[in-house]
Amino acid sequence: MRKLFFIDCSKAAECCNKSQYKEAKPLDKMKLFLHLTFCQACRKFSSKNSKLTEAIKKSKIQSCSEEQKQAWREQIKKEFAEDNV
Amino acid sequence: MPANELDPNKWVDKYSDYLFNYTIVRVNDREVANDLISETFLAALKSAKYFKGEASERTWLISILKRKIIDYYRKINSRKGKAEVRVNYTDDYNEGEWLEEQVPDQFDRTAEDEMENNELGLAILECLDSINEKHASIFKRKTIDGADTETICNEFNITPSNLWVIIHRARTALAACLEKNWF
Ligand SMILES: [Zn+2]
Repeated sequence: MRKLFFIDCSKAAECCNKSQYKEAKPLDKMKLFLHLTFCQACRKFSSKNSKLTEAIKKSKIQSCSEEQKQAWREQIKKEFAEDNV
Repeated sequence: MPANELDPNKWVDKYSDYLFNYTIVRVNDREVANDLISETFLAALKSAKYFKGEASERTWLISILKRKIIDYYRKINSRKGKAEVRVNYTDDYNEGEWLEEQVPDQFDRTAEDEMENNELGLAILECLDSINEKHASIFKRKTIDGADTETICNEFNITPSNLWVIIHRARTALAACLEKNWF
């Protein structure tokens, strides 16, 4: 019984991270919830972690496409080589 | 020896996401943003010899990019004719002034929020720079691009449990960095 429902802090952290990406299984989420009721350290981590997710969502960071990055890399390489002739 | 040195071969990996996010909120067009960043890299290479190493590479690139963005708006405005959009530029490119005048009054609040969120985004990217490079790339793929765990594992040749350990380290470091610099 204990083994079924109790998880250690590293397992709790993993589940907490997965749930930031909606990849935690329902049973694991339950175990996390139970763990959080008695573990203050993980509660603290969990709240920071959610705050981070919130901040990232709010910031609307975008990344530019890999093709564009490759084009810039080549452009810089080419110009850099010409400048140093 | 100067405190900061330029390393153009690393510019794209280190700064392109930062430059892109800085630009996109200001020009609202991916293609225009990409072009302005291309121009910025070229201009930076041309003036690399004037880099004194007093500012960081990033700050220096942003100062060039800012000028490119202002030039872009100048071009648009002169094309549109002076009557439509009037923007008062100052010669020393005071940040903010030109943008404020672009935006009609009723959008002020939204624009302000958007700028603040954008700054938060830049702070996040800056923090990501200070963590392990590979961890940062994996974190970005997962969190910003929203790529599948499986896809990322294949790309980086790692197991899912490796991935979650890396994500954990990245998130912990990032939260600490943001706590110090933002919240
Ligand atoms: Zn715990």
